[in-house]
Amino acid sequence: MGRYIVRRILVSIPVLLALTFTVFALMRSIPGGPFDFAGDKSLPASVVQNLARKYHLDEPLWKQFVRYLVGDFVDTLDIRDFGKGGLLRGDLGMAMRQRGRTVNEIVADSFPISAQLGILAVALSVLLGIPLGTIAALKQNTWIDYTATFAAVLGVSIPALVMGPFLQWLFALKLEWLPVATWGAKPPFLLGFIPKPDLAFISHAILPTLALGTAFSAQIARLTRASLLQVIREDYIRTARAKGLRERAVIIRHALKNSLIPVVTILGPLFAAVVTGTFVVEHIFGIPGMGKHFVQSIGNRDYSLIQGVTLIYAVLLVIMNLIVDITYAWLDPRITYK
Amino acid sequence: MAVAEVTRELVVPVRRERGLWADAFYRLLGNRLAVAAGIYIILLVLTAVLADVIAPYDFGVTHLKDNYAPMGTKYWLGADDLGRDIFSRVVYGARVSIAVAIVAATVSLIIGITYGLISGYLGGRADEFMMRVVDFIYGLPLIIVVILLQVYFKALARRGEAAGLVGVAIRVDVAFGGLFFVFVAMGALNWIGMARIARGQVLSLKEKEFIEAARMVGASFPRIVFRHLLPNILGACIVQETLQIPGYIMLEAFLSFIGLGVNPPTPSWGIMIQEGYQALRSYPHVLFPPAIALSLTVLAFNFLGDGLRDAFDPRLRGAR
Repeated sequence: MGRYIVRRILVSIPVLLALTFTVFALMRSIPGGPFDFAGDKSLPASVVQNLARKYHLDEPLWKQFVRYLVGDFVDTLDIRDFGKGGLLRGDLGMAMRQRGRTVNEIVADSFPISAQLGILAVALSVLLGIPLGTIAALKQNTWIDYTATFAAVLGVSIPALVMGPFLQWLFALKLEWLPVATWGAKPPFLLGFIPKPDLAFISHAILPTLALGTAFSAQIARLTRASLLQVIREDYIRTARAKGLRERAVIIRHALKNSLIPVVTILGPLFAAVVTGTFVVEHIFGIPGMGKHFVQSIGNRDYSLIQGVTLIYAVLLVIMNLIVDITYAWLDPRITYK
Repeated sequence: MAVAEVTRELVVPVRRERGLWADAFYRLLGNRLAVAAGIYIILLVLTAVLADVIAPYDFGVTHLKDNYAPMGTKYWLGADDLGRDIFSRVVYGARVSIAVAIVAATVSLIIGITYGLISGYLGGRADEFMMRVVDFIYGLPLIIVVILLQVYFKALARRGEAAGLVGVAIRVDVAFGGLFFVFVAMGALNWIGMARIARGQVLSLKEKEFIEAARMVGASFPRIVFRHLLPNILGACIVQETLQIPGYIMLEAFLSFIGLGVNPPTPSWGIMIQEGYQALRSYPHVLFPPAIALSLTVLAFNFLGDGLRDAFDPRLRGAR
């Protein structure tokens, strides 16, 4: 297992490098650069030239990329400079459109907020989806099942794009129960990402979490129901009942654990979808998370910020997929990784 | 539901002379939700094709005096910030959603099936390598790549005149409201699931006797693929693709929402939701028509996809 994890991590390094280079080259080949505009005015040519030189945008593409990876080592070629700066050191460079801020600072400020939103949404989808799916499966072909199934299809079909503005309109503007937008928690966070669970945080978090998490809980509910229905018909469930176990123990200990295996497989794509979802939801609710920076930095052509944020997302997905695969093996002893 | 159906299947003998497709089609007709969804989608396609006839106004014509006009006889669903008729714009917006569904799904089907077929048929080392590649791509944040590609294509199209094939491509792109490239990109990046399914099907099929028999009598590789393998895996692949279509439609709406989608004034439901969202505080009626249209369409494709899956493989009823 340990060797498997190490190999997976080693294998993902060239993939991440390839992705970084693709983004790097793609962004630089798009017409328009980071210094075309300052606010509404365009900058004088001499200023643009100087800025381009400062950020080494006048160098050949390969040199810029090597500089991005290893920092000033590309100039000095002194082995003592190797790994002093650049990506190898975890340095994502200076942001181009937010003067004086490094990409690392921006990520450190915004990532915890996106993480809070994402974790809340995943928690909601698991805590709501699994019980709902279980109840629907246990009451198969009753009105409870039909209602839950129908609600789940409905939930899957309403995009966050629609859910967000609708929730804002109903609960914030019409009923005035909850705040319309922004995020209630501010750094510093406990352990870097756990906010103080005060009223400001909770009241601001409810609508974005619902907007993001509803579709996922519906998806998990459908999957849990389908998978549990299949497992319940297995022989070992009959055996468990036959030896006189209480129904509750049969369901929870024998059926549910096995029925969660397909649910875990969907968690990988789900995390990817949560990332996409945070773009939408952060945009709609004006939440200062990483998704907002990503969308903005593309419009601004802020090369270093785009690269940094893309890389963080990619690393996150790689880690998430690895965790999913490990959980998968833990739930299903028939699966072994070499 | 299941009980009733089981008894029916027991009582009425299945007519064996029907083929797999006809069988699936009749089973689909028995699923009322899927039929309703299918009818909705057919109507939507007709709406998209006949938008010029159905819409009372042109999608771009502004009536500045009537900005934010409420629902009424002049504008059935009201007017937006520039006094454009919302009903007409929703009708024209169907074009973009249908186009993304068709283009992205076709591209994804072709690439995925080809890849999966080759991988599964070759087997062994080649198969292992090709599936490793799929695993790599699976781990990437494809949505980000799609967004970046879209920025790239948009800038390319804005630069205007280009000769030869690129020029033709740009003109096609403009005809699609600036979205053609990104539709292709969506499909071209979303074939992973399709490839896996096609491969799995081929792996289980190629050991079957009828393939072996075909090989024995000297059928060529293309004949085995097109005559024997493809017809048998196509059902599962189409089901899978239908289930992916809601994702394409939502992704297009999202791109348009954040301003990376269609070029204004071409209406897309995503861009209209963005406009409605801006006016939410005072004029919520701008938001609801495109929001409902988008949700209904996604719902319809979900119901149809579920129905198709049950029809092709009744054992999977309720799965996913």
